[in-house]
Amino acid sequence: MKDPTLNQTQFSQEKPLFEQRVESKPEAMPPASDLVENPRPRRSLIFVIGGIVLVVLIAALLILAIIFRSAEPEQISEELIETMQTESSSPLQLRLNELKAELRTADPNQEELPFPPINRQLLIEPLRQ
Amino acid sequence: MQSLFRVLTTITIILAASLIMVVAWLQPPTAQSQTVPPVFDTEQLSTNISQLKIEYRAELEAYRKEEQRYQIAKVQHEKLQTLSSLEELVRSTQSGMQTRNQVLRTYFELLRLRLQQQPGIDLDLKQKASGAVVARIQLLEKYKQTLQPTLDKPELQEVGRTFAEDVRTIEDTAYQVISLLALGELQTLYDKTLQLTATIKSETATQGGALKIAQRDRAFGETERLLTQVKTEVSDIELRLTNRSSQPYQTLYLQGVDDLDAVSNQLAQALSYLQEILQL
Repeated sequence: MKDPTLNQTQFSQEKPLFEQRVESKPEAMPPASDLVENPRPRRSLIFVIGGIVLVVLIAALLILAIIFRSAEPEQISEELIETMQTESSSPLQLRLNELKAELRTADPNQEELPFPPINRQLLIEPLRQ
Repeated sequence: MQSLFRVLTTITIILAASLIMVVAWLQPPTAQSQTVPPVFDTEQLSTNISQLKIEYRAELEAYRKEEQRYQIAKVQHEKLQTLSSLEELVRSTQSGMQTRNQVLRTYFELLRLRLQQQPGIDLDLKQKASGAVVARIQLLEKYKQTLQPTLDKPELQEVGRTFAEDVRTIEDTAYQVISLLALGELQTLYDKTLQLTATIKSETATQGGALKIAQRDRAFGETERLLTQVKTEVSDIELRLTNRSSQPYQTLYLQGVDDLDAVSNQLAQALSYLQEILQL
């Protein structure tokens, strides 16, 4: 039996068809330049960078807020700290602390309204005795 | 480009919103957000006292400047002995007298309000002191009227002379009020301590076993003895202020400061005892 692939006449007739298929193969693949210009990967990259920047900035703001909040108690007076500490204490303990604070304020050695430091001899000439 | 713009706009909006939230969180609560308590007379009195204290400090500062001007003018006149240096001395003296009078006027107004505000003062003593303060305010008002027109050298010299006499009475009244305020504060604290002792006693009466109750009873006994001592000393100081003869209030006050200090220490001791009782 004669092998059909060895028929040169048929081959010469079909050759252009095979050539066209072979040539059309590279055309079916998208060119390399098209792959680079595809907008999808670029957009996702912007979102990723934007997201990271956003997270970093929000984290920085929160850290700043926490630092400011934690710095505030340093300025609070000892009496206020004592009051804050006893917030959870019993009402009797609270009353006792209030009394202690009032007693500290009412120190008899510290005049609340001392007599003003005025010049009693505001005169043009000194007084004769 | 459009997508980039959208992303940047979104980030900016989110950041602005976060910033506003953080700033709002950091802000202390405003007066509007807090519950506004009803305004009582005592609160109004406290506000008036605070305002007067601010005015008083400003007036004292103004007086210091005027007094400095007076001292400079005095030295200049002693050196130069000219009519213009005398004129400057007369004007600075009158200006100094006016500001000094205003300082004292505001100071006595402050004393009047503080006396009104302070509890724990015997009503009779309070009324006497209040009357004396009003009398001093009226006297200072008279000085104010006298010093309003431009006065010449002899007239100012006369005002200065009468003031030098009146200032003793003015100062004595101030010390009368200062003594009562100090006494009133301690009397109020004594009353509060006595009330607290009674409350703690009733609320802890049945707490713990028999041993604990006995220990607490002994502790209360000691505290009450200390408070009786405080009461006696406060009454003694009050009696001295009531029965003073010709002794100036300033002398009484200076002598009484040590006694008041002792009372204050005893009250602190009583509060310390109560702290121990609460921990039993």
